[in-house]
Amino acid sequence: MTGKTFKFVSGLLLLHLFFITLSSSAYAAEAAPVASESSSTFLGIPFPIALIICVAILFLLIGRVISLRSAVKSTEKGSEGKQLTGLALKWHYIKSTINPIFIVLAILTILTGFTFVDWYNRAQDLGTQVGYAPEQPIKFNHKIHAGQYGIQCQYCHTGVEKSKQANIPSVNICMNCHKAIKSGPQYGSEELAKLEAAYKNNTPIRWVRVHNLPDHVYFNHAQHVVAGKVKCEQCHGKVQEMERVVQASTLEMGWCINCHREAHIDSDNAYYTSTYDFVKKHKTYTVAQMGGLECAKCHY
Amino acid sequence: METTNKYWKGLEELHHDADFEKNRMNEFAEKLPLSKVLKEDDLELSSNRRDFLKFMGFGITAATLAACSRSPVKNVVPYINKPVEIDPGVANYYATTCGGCNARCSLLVKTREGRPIKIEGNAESPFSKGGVCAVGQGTVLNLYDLGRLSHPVVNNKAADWKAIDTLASSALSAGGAIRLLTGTISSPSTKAAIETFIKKYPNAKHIQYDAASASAIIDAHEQGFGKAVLPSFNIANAKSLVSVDADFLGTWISPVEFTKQYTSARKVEGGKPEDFLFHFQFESTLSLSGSNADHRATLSPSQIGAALVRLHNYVAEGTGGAQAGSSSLELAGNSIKMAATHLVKNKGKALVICGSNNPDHQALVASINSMLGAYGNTIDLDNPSYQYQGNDKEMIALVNEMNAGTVGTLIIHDCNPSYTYPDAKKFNDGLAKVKTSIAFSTRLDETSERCTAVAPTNHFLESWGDDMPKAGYISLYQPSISPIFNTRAAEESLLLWAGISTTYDEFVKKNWKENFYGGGEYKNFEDFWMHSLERGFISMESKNAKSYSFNGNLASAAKVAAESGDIEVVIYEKVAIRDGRDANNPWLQEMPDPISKVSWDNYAAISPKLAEKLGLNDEDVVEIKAKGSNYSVKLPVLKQPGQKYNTIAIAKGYGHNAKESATYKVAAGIGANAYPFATVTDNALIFGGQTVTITKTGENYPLAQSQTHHHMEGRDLVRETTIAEIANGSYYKEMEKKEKEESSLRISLWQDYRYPGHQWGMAVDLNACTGCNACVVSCQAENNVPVVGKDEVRRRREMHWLRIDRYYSISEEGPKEIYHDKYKELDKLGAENKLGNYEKVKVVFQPIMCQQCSNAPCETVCPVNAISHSSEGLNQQAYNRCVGTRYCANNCPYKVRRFNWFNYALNDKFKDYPMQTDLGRMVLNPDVTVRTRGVMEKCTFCVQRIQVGKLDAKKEGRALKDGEIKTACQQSCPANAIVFGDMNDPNSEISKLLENKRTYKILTELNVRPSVNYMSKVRNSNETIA
Repeated sequence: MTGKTFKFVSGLLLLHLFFITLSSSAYAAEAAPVASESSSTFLGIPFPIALIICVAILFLLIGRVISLRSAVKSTEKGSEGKQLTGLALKWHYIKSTINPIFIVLAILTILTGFTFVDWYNRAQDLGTQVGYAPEQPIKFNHKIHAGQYGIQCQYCHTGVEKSKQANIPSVNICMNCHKAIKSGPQYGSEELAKLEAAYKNNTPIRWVRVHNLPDHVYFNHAQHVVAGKVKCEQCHGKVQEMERVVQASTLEMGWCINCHREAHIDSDNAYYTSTYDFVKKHKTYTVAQMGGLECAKCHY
Repeated sequence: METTNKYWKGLEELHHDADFEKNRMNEFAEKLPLSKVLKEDDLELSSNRRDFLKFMGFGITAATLAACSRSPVKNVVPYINKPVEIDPGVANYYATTCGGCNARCSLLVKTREGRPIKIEGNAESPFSKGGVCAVGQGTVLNLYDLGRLSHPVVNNKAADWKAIDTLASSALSAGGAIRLLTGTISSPSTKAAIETFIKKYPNAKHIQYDAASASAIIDAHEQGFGKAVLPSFNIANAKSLVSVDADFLGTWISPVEFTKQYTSARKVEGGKPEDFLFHFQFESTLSLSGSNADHRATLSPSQIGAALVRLHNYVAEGTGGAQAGSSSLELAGNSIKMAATHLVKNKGKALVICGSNNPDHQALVASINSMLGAYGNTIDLDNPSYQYQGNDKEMIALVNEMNAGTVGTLIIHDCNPSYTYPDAKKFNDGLAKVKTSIAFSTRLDETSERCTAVAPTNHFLESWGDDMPKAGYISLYQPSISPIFNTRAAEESLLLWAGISTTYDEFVKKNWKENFYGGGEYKNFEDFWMHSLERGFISMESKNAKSYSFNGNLASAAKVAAESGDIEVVIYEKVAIRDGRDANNPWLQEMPDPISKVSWDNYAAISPKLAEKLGLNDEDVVEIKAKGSNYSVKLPVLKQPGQKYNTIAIAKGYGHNAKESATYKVAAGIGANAYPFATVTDNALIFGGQTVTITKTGENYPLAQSQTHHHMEGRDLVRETTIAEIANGSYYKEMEKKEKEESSLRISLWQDYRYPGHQWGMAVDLNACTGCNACVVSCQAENNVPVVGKDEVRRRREMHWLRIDRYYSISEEGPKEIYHDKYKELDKLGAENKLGNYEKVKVVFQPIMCQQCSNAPCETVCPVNAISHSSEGLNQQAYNRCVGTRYCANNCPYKVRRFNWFNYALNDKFKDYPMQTDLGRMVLNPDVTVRTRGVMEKCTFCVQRIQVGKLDAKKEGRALKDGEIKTACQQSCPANAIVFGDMNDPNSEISKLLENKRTYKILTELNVRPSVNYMSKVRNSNETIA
């Protein structure tokens, strides 16, 4: 290998390393707030394992080829005219027939391929805002309300069973309790004073919306909670353990579709049994089988 | 029968105009200016390598930067105190009354998060029965009109309420006659408020004035029966109806109520063929009613008197009544004699109505109706209508009084005489002589801008109130939004000036407690009030309609003036713009006129024959000058089949010219004012019949006429038959034969879809459909369909998801043999000039929306799969997937797909339309996406309503009920022509209609298997009565 080629190859390798580190760190930063679970896969196998397997297969294959050819050409002689056998023969064969640049390039190609698959996978999650946990005008703590005191979600989010929106509670709902409870365990009366001021001065509170869907998506809470019997935490995570609400799910279309493929309809609901005669017989229909993947179920 | 009818959409199609022939096959109305766009400086095609690098560099950087940005922070602002009845995301419906015109139909207002977004009909109402017209649908947009007056005005300067109150109290106590000039007040509580006001100021007098006056009818009934009322008409009871120049289905008195009655009198199923109403229409210009008539004849406005005398004397002959005067006028095809014979044959079930405001004409009509025994059967004098109470004589006297300078204070409410009064100059002169004039108005219109002070009133959706359109029926108003601007109810001001400080809603309640609460089933008044509010109306026991006989003197009425032979002007109302009060509504302006299909304009309609004689062509501007008053306007000409030869028709409601430009932002500069052509006699305002001269100016003014847009190549789309053929079964046999022939040709390459649950379908009864366009505006409101403006309509880029195709036909003349090439056939008719002067034209309407095909041609050509088939039979358009190749629109045989050429919500060209102002956007339906530029859209069968209906059933764990889901077009149809439902449910109404032998699908030869069905139009034929 000439010096020039060596420089070129090692330079490429370094560049790769740089990109991989960069993208990994960017990804780590993106995913930091949530308990990170590696979601990037290649053919269904976690990415690092897939990488190791592929490189291993490559080396195995090369080794196999070499041993086969060396067996055939067992009469090959070394540079000193000595009959070569065993490992020495193999090494000689590698040196004489296979261009090392080819091997490096092969490894590079594989690495590049993996890098792009990795990037593609990570790009899927870009802009999905998983882990989005904006600061709210009042530091409302779900851990205390939903966790410690076990208040039902529906007590405050009144629309969840009847409307498209679950509703951020209006101040009068807060005041049901906070007319009496004037200070809390965490911030004393500091945060509650803001609530009371809003109530007294009739100035609405501008909460920051955590869960956002694009305008062209129609999502209905009542459909999922009442008709679909989906539990709140299935999409919103363990809110009772969150001090500040964090977006737990990606809320992207693939995520919706996956659930629609797996979740079963409530086959006891008289709407389904009366509309679809087969639901009574076999009770295991998924949402997707009932047309839950069709465009106009969510986009209109 | 049906095979002898030739249908065409426009004269250019019939005559094979060179331009039309050249363009009809083109995808676009004009050549796309691509080369021009690309040659613009910033888009030079011949850029060099450096430019390329610059663009690349910029593009990559911009894309990277854009990709890096986080989604914007969105806020959620909940209520402080959430009203119990409001759940964000759930629609609330409030019962109220329509303030769009004088008819006062009962409504349900759909609100979301406290803002009204859609008008629906109140189906429980025995009066309007769930129907709403296009104007009613449009009223919700008027609420969000920036042209509304937002604050009180004194001496043309913004003021506060205190200033107005001070001015009013000093003016009212200053002495001098006080005059209260209003439109028709049919509200009992407003009447009570006015009475209270008059009690306080005994020198005050209340005068009612209507722009579309029915004063002559009231006069005639006073003269003939001693009852100065506008009677209630009941077309449902009639078997024979003669309408002389009254467009009762479109604009006259109570169109929605009449449409409901008309369809119930013309039922094919569930009614006896011999009871099928025969409708004669004698009129000057083709109206909505005329286009639905069984027999139509044209007459000029000056012939109305003579025609009525002739009809009167024929009827008198048949019934043994007294003759009145003499006339020898007969219309084409012995129409008057035929009508009279039929009327007499159906004595007791006959009705004659007349739209003329000439007291002589109405006296003759009253006498004819009396001879026919109409009073007590088809006309009710004991439960009269209060919809029009305007009194022309009092109005004329008031204008004289104002000019004499004896009026101290004039209070104007709910009328715009400076614009609508025929002698507006005299009115304005008089107004200038009035010491203090105060106008209650929602906008700074032509009248209020001339007044000393303007007290802005609420829109009816912000108001409390009540209305009695008919004796025994009271409809309530309740606000569905609090006043948007600094406005106050007119009644509240009047009461305040009369020294009573109360809110108007308290006053209405008090009035109801005193006058309408009778205990009965209700616990107390509050219980009664809440029930009434919820229902929206109360019905009281109606009196028995008695029979009356006419005993007026017809001697002077029956005098027939000699015909002048000059060209006469016809002043009529258009279905959308009506008397012009809501002219600033872009939905109504964009709605194509049902007959001419022109939107955004006023024009002078003349008969093709007269146009030929005068050497005029469509869009030639002519000057029309009244011989009497020298008033003249310049308008483009439109050749209108069905127009009387020597007449020129101009619509009211255009040509607004208020000084404040914001008042009529949309309507300003459109058309010319037709009111001044009318004349004021001693006792009446006479609309139409004035002689005019026409001069060609040589100018050309383009009209936006959509009649041949979305052209379906003249195939066999509308089917028509007669009730006689239905009765003897021959039509059904013909339909069966046709179906058999066609079904053998239907071969499909595709595997059939399965619809395991629902399969949505629709049936449109062409027999019921009157073509009123209420569905078009209803669809626009429901589905956030953008307004595109005249220029874009001209380029065939209107966005309406639902259009109504209007076909003309002539059956009496022309060859009987049928050609395969319909064009050749039309050619022959046109070339041989066998179509006369087109006065005998007949019309069929056909609403066309997406047909939701099972073998949809649009689905198979989409390269990005943006259109897919649902398991419920819908063709689902995913806007965010569409890339705008337009292949689907080209492959759609029904031409129902609409392409978004612009971002109508942001592009400056459309800045005056509702989507571009914060206020206007309040009307948008939050459940339907606002589409962006470059995507295709179409009717969805109101999928948002389907989803809500199914969800309600799922939430309650029950089966979906038939009729629970109503599409927007179906909900508002005044004729119940549209039925929507689940075709898989054997008991649903739609399934039953599919069995009906009148039902057919269009373009079945393509085997696209549409889900929309049509039912043949049925008419009475002349042969049955000849």
